[in-house]
Amino acid sequence: MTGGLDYEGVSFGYPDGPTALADIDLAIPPGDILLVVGSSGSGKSTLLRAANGLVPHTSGGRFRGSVTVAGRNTRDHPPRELADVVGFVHQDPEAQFVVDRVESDIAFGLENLGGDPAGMRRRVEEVMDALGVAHLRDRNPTTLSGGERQRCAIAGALVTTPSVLVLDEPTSQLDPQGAEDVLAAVARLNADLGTTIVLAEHRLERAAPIADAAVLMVDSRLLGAPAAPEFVLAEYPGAPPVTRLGHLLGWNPPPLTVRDARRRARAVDLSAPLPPVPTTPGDVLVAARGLDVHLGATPILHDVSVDIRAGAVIALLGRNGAGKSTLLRTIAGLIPARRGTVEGPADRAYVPQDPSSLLFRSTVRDEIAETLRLLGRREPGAVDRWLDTLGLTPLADRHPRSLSGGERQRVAIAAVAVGGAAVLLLDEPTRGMDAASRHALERAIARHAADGGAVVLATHDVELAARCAHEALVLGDGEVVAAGSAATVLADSLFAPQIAKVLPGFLTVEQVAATAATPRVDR
Amino acid sequence: MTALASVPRSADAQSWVTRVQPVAIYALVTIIGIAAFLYPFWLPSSALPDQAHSGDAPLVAGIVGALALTALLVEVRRGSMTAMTVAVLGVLAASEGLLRLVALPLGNNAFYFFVILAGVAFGPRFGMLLGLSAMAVSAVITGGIGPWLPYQMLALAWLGATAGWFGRITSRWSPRVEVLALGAFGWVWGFGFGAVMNFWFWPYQRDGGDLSWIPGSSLGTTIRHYWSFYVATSFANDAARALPTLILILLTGRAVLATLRRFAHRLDPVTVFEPLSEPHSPSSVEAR
Repeated sequence: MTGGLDYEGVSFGYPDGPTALADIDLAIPPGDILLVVGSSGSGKSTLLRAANGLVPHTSGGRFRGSVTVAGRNTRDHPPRELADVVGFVHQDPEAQFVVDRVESDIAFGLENLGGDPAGMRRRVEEVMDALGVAHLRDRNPTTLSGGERQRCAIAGALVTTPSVLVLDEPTSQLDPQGAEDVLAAVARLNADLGTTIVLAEHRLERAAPIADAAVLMVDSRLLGAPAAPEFVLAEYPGAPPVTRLGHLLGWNPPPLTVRDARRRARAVDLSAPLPPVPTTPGDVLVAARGLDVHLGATPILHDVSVDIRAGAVIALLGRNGAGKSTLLRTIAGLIPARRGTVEGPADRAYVPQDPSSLLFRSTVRDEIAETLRLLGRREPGAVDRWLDTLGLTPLADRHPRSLSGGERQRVAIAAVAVGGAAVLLLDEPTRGMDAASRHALERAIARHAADGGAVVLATHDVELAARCAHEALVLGDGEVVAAGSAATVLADSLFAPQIAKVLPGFLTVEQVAATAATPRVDR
Repeated sequence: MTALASVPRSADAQSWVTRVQPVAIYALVTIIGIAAFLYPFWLPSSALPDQAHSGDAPLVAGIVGALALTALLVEVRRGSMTAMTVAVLGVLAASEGLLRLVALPLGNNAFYFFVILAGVAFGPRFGMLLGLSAMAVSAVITGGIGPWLPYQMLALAWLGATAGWFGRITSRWSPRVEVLALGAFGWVWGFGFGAVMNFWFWPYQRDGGDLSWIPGSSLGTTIRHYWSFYVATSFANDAARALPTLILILLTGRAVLATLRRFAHRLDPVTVFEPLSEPHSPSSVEAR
């Protein structure tokens, strides 16, 4: 039983909090990759934190049962005595560096365990190679991209040769390329070193295919024993689109990858998708014309134009550094344009990528009401309406900083949107969100557009764009490389949504369901 | 719930010796501090240096600093403070350094209210360490290093520690009453701080006037002379410290305390292990 991780009858509640884990029995065999899925607040993070004793030693609370890792019971061993057997990587890659040089930061864990210099040197080299970060050794972690930072953080956790590696949403803050790199590194690690890996994730398109087993958490409990991911995810609302498609079309087992799905789809005969309902373009709320923007001496945007019309949802796509955030901030009036104009009658409101920077009150409700107070408006009911729209009502009295990333993001959006601006500019709004939060956000976006407003989303999430955008704008190196209706732009791309890759002509599972031509499903 | 009411974290931390040790160090700091303030009363006039404490201040600073570090190490070793507590201490001390630079209409006095609120939120031991480190850090920032520094550190440490004790009482009251009480506490300490600090040089001024100490005089005379000295020289200054402290606590007390207490609460986890349902489950046997 040395490399495994065992939970026996574990129940746990935070101090003054409700139950976070209830009767958890879980045995993870050595060398397995286990994927833990579930909505925000279902107890995934708590489950993971119990693996190295952070729960309950650092959190406090009532703890029952026992967790055994590499033969050590976490009741008797606080986190510092488990550091050599459990590597733990937090959700937020920005928050876990202690030294301003990558190589030194990776060595930090070993130094604290008192390793000998020669052995440390070799070990650090090895993990840097294993994670593909050797070329970053002299960089400052704050200058790295999200994916690079997360890989360096994993290297730091691995340097002590733990037998178990715990990853709490390692890719939820990353762009698709970063997520791809991180998960490829994780899979390679598991294959080469046999490290047991426990992984909690919301974004399952890439994580599900590398897992040996998955387990679903609902309301602090495990729903059944771990099983093959395709079965566990078949009915899960946050499953990859191809898995949900397979479930809809009655494929058994449902596919996890586009590749599997494509093979199954050969036999499918669907009528052509319904043409999109033609939308009458509304009035132009904001028009940006020929924007040239520099940050310092660096040119960021070149000759970018976009019309934001009433009723439109525009997805702004493009790789990191393509200028998406800069464009939003320029439209919001936060950055001056060197050339070009932003004009229009409508108010603009911008929600930045890091929601924490907007939150300073002590409850969610106060946070949203604060905007109205600062604007000097009294609109009874507006706060409750936005709480409801974004599914925040159950969280109304919580402290914004004790919420999960996805919940904080929704609070920030509500706090900005309640001000009543017609044009909402959302920067990467689904970072860290679970399926339910994403759906709540999509509904709120659709409602805002239907009420005559407009929404511009800068996002890496093509599935989000496919589900809620009418128009898409792809930026490359500060220039517009594609623009047009979302259906055309997205379907025509190497980074198309999963469904478009499987069933050309369709973008989302909902569209497939709506054509009602589901020949293999008995109705 | 005070932050550092030490929760035994493992079996070996439960004996009274390990519980009393950090407290003993703080007591030692206080005793040495009082001695350092008062011993010049017993110095013969012929042995007085030109500048108060010109010879012994580095020694006092060294001893106090070393004891503060020892206390911190012992706290961490015992588990009554964690790495997170130390990090918070460092951040708050640095914030204090910046607050000392804030110029208010009556002088640079935005500094004292925060030690009081932090002491109230985190408890007397933390308050004492914060007082020591905040004064040291701010002296480096403002260039206020001199023979007076160890005495300022001690005075601020006592301010922080008493705030911690006072906070144990006020935390049971409603927030509105608590802030009023803390405002009054800050106002009184505004004068008290000056009254304590005067002692670092007052025994050295022996010009024989009504405002100075006359060797060999009775306690009553000494107190009368000191009171005259205090009213004449220090009262106005101290009022300029007491009033901003009072106002700042009244204005910001509730919000700052709520934030600090949120951290204090998270730094002081109370863990309860319920007994294993099976007395000899395989995992617990394996672990030993």
